[in-house]
Amino acid sequence: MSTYLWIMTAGSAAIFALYGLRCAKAERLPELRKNAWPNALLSFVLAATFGTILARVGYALLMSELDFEYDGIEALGLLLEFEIDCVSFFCGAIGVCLGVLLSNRLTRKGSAFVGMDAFAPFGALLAALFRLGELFFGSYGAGGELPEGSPLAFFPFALRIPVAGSSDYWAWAICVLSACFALIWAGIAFFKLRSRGRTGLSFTLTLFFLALPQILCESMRKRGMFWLFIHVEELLCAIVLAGVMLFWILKSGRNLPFLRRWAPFGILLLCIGLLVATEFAIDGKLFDLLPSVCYLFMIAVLAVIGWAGVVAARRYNEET
Amino acid sequence: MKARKSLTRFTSFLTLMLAVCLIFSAAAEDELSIADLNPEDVEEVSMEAPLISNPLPIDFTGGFPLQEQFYLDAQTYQDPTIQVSITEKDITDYLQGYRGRDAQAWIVDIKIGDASQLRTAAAESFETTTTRHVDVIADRLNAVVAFNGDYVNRQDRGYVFRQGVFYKDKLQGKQDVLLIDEDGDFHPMHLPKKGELSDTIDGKKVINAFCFGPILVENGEIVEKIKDFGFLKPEKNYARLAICQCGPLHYKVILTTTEQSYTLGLKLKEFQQLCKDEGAVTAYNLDGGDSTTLYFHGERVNNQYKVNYREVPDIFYFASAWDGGNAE
Repeated sequence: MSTYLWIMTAGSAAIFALYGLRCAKAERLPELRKNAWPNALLSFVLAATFGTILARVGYALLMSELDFEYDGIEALGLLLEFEIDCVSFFCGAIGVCLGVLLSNRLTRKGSAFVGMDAFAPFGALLAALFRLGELFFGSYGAGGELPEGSPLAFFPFALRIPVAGSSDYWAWAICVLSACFALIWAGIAFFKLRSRGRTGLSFTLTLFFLALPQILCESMRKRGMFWLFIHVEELLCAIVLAGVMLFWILKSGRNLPFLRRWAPFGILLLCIGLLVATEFAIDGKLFDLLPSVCYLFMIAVLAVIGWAGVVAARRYNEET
Repeated sequence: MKARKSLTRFTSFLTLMLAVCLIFSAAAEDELSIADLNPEDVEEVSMEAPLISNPLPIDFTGGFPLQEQFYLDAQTYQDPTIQVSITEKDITDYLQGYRGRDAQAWIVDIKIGDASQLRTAAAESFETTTTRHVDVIADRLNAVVAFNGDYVNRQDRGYVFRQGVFYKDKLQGKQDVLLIDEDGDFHPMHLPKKGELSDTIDGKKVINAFCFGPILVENGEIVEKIKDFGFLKPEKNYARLAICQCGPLHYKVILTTTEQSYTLGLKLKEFQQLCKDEGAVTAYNLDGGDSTTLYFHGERVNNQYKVNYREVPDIFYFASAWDGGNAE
């Protein structure tokens, strides 16, 4: 655990240093250059604090972990017990965003979203770091079992999972897949979205396109937060998608006909319905399909959501 | 003189007859070897034979490797330490009112020589939510017969005590718990709350506990008052699974089919009646629905028509303790 903490702290510090460097060297955005280093330092401190607290509290609330009826006020002591299975990645990510947002509010004038846009690629990098950090926790970042003798049964495609009293097995390395998606988006956000577009675009696009593939990854994960068969973090991903899409639509297209304006959101809701049906199919209900077929269908649905997202984001960007 | 001669002849005849009888009986004994008995005869004879007690360690290792010769037929396994027989049963008579389809159940009768042969296992560990197919878990543990468990850890509440190890007590008094002690005896606990259960019961160590419920049959009688905690669907013809104790080291596991298959499952009341009729002294309901799985002889027995079936976090299984006689 301590090695994990050291690596995560050092990695996060390095990422926030890069964020500070980017702000300090932002030629076209003088407001970013102001207080660049104090802002990066404060962002790091607040993001680490809020991220840690929200990751644990979010899990406890979502999983109804605290039993005040039996433990009374002492139930709160449970919040100090940190285990990898008792934290919520998404709630932690919200905490990090809040920390950076608050830091930008405190250290700069003007819209805090300018700072959030600059933070977007580094946020994705941070997500990749923490996903890779799951490799420290055995099966935590693993998915389903690979068939015996699979040619892909080696790292980084798969993780070897030890089982008490039984033989080990290879499982898909979902945390690596999540990290890859986050790294790809970090690259896109850094090189393609740099200094472009309306304020808030880079940040919201990053939120959207980190949450989108994560739906697939969460569905494939075997450990995490569950309400019986429901993957809680998958649900949170869908909420993030809906939230970002609503933001884009509400902030743009006022002169468009109602149907045209809200069509991307309608498509998103429809696709979320299809994703729910796919989850049932993966569980062996509704349709008797092989999980691989279900996941292919899920990828197709996610692609449609991505397309709807791009349409909504473009409208948001075109309107100043 | 004549009388004496007759007596001698009679005695000789009697001796001859006795000798003939002895020769025939000896010949008959010689001819009746074990090899000439058909499997049904073997089964009939040895089903009554006492099973050998060879304790397995109370840990997460599996049983001894199974030998093909002990599979007497497609639905029976029998070695000196365990007897398992599976019966498919038409339970349409249990349906209260015709529902357009037949109902079917699997009755798995299990006798073991030692309580340690009733074991539980997790897909990965009882501390994680990882799921795998019952047959995958069971295969690696040399299970003679295996079933899905109580879907452990997929909610934060519950009570987890497996293979002698305590993991979690987050009871809220909403679910019945089944404790299984070191002698393999069942102790049904009605709606216990946090802190009310311990690692011993009636002076015996608890080895396993299930937290799903409800208790269906207790002391051979149907439990009338049942609290529906959300998954039971008492009024639905549901796929159900119950673990029953019928006597010392004698168990039955009863499964009904899903509503999606060609036959119907049972309503909870009907299922209770079935368990009672099957001779259950104690019957406890475990996870049903699409989780319901029966594994035997290397494959899934129920729902074979499905290409995709549910993975579960835990199983319970019966293992062989037959090491080829080495322990003796």
